[in-house]
Amino acid sequence: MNPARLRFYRNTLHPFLSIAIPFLLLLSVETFVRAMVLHAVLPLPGYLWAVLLLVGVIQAVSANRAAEEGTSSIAPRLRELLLILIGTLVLFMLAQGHLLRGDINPAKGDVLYPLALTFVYWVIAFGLHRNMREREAFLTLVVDQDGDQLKTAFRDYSEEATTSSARMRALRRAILWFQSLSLIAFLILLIAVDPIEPWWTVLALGHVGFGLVFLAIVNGFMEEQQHLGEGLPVPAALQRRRVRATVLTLLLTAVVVMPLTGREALLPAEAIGAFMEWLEERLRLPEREVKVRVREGGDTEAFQEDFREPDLGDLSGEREENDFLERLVRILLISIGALILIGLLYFLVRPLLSRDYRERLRQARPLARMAAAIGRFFAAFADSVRRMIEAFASSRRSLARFGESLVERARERSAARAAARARDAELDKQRQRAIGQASKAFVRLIRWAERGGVPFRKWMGPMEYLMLVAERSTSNARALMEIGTIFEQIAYAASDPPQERSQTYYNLIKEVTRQRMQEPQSTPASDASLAPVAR
Amino acid sequence: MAINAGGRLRFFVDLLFPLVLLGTFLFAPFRPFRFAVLALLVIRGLSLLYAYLVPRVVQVTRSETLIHAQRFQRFRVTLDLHNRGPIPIHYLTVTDTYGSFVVRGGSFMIALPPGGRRQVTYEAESHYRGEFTLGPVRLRGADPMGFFSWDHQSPTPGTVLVYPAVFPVEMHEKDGLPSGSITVSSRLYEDTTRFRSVREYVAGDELKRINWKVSARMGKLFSTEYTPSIYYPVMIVLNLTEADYPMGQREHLMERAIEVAGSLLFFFVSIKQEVGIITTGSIRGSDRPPSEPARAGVGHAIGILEMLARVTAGKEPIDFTGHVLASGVPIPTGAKVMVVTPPTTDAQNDSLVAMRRRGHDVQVFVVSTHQTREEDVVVPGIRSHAVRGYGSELIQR
Repeated sequence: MNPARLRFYRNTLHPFLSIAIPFLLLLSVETFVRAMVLHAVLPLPGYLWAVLLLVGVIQAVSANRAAEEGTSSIAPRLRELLLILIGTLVLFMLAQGHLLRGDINPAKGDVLYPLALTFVYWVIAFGLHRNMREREAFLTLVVDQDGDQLKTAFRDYSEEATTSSARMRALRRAILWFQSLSLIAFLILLIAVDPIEPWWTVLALGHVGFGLVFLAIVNGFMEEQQHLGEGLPVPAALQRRRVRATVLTLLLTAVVVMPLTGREALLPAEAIGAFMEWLEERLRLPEREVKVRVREGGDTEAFQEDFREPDLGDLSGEREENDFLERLVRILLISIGALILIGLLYFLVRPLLSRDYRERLRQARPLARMAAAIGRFFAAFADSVRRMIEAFASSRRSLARFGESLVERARERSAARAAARARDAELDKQRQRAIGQASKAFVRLIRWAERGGVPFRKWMGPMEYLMLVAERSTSNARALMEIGTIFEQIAYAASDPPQERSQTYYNLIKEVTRQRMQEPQSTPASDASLAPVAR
Repeated sequence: MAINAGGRLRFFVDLLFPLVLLGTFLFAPFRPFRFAVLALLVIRGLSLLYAYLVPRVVQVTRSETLIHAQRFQRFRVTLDLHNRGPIPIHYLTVTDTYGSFVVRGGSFMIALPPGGRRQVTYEAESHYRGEFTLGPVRLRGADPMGFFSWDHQSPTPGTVLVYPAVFPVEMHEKDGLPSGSITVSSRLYEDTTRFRSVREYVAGDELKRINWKVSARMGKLFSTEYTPSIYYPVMIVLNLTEADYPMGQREHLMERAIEVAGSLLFFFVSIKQEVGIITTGSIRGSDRPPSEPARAGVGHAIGILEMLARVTAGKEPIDFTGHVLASGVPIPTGAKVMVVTPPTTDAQNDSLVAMRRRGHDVQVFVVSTHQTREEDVVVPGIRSHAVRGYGSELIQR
């Protein structure tokens, strides 16, 4: 990533996206909604769009200034919003002539509506720009780096990289949502209004076209970040190639699509209606005859003459059955039930299948521990029985004393175990400290050797690495081997080395790192003469 | 090949969304709307087609499928890429798999026009001797809109043969078989085919040495002198039986033993002697420890060097002294047997002495850690050389 490109992103492309995306969204959706409903209700000043563009520019400039000053507080931005709203309010009041008429009440549709649009625009632009700001922050950390250095920087700033990537995905989602919103509004407009003005079509298609371009740009950002993670900054020439390919794809699409879109739809809209009717017919419940029986005889003859009450008690008796429908419903119910059950089961079992849990299980070894605990229990039980028999047989002490001895013994064991645990913990701590110090010293040695041209690799053992170093620095070979031997003893042996040996380790490292690393040995002339023949 | 992160099919984006678009296109009565919807659909279709086709038309090959290199010496790996299709590729990432090599580069970003060819090269260095494989080559890219990324692995195998490090060795042998290519001072080995000079007769000179023509011309007796020269076939015995090496630094000592063998081989080849080798190591794909009879020539030496590049520790507990006879490789009469081994046991020492009694000039090069006692690196009754643990100076004394 070169600084010029970062400047281009920061000063041009990111601000452009943050201004253009919400501007096109508001322009298209507002135009479509206005054509349907708002034209009769709320007048819109024509200069609003210029004001919105200006607000977008102000937002972008303020955001860049805030980034330069390194302020991340939201308060200045809120102040900026407030000032913008006040400024636009005054502008709208003036432009609509309210102030000139001496009317200072802003609660008017032709003022509040553009003000609300300005607010919405600023909020969206601010949100989008903030997403891109994370990307800028990350790119600043890896600027001017290449190859392994870039890879290392990427690893060092992995958190920032993850955030940047997540923000880019959010940006892409936002663009897709805005596209859907605009298209839905356009569809509703097409259904609701006749005739359609050509300007609306141009706007809708323009929004789709720009949306695709924005998507391509954001996808390009994500790809670029992926390449940076591999230590490959994308050269400017290849970036240009990609832009050309994108434009070519869009043109090709337009060329392909134009003849394919005839005057009429391929299938008539009535077909949907016919299909829905057919579906309704398939799923309609069969009509059944309701038999109404008139109760005969009774106490109030006068009432029965006027109204004959149906016998509702027998309605459930006679129902015609549709086998197909019944089977379909049953299959549906079973499927839904099975899905819910599988979902629940998966929800319950999922944590048990996770890698973390398996790892924990492998480390904890619950079965082995349970087996050991059972073993201990039976051993203690056998011991108790044996001791009980002994107690009764030999000393004839009372049962109470036997119980006391058992409790005493258990207490002693418990205390001994606790003491051993504390001792182990203390020893562990000391050992960890010693290993930590030795490792730090060893890392110093690695840095020294890496400066001399022997890179350390994760898979190398300490001795293996020092052997390679010794190949390069033969004068220190003996010292290096000694260092490796002592370090392995400190790090891996069951017991710590004596104090003087540890001291030797640190002294040797100090002595070795004080010297300069030797230049790599050149291949001897005799084998060089044979090497070309070997090829 | 995988499209979009391992070939996952996303329900909403890859299935439902295109279906909804298709349905809308088929039934929507408004032309502009149909145009917009179809444009979205076609772009996705074209992008998918691109991501599907491009990895299939890119061909990767290696300029060299077998690369020879020395340890710690940089070598170059070159990949040839060819776009066999008519689709231009705006850029793709090429990453080679190079295992344990220390590499500068190894990943590239290139563009390929239709039918275009590109060559990418990176430098690598091996810190280890052996036979290594390169590949597969990973190709990655995305369509111009960035909707579908693709990831393709081309097997493109390659082999790198890293020779053991070879260091200069100086050995001054005075004994051998007469009439060879090595000039010595001992008149015992005078080669009557190599005239040197004529000198005045000294009492005791053989009569057949008197140069009668010169004597007649000069009026007194003159004897002819010949250049003494020797030759000796060399058999290197390389003990790579794993169990014979101490557990600590085992790998390093074995590597050092192989370096010693390689250096001796180079030395004797450079003075034009016949060299053979018997080892107790193993080579992948062969069920017998590798050996070569004594022969002359650089080609033969290169064969042995390649064998030394491939050889690994012998897991079978073979006694190298017994294996010298059991291997079936003939040891020529008067050959010098150069044994490269870790400190030997008493039984092995006895076997070496017995070998010497059989008429072979046996010399032992003992490879050991710096902690080994001095008496352990000496084989009684045999010329022994202690090998230094590190550095280009092999022989300690």
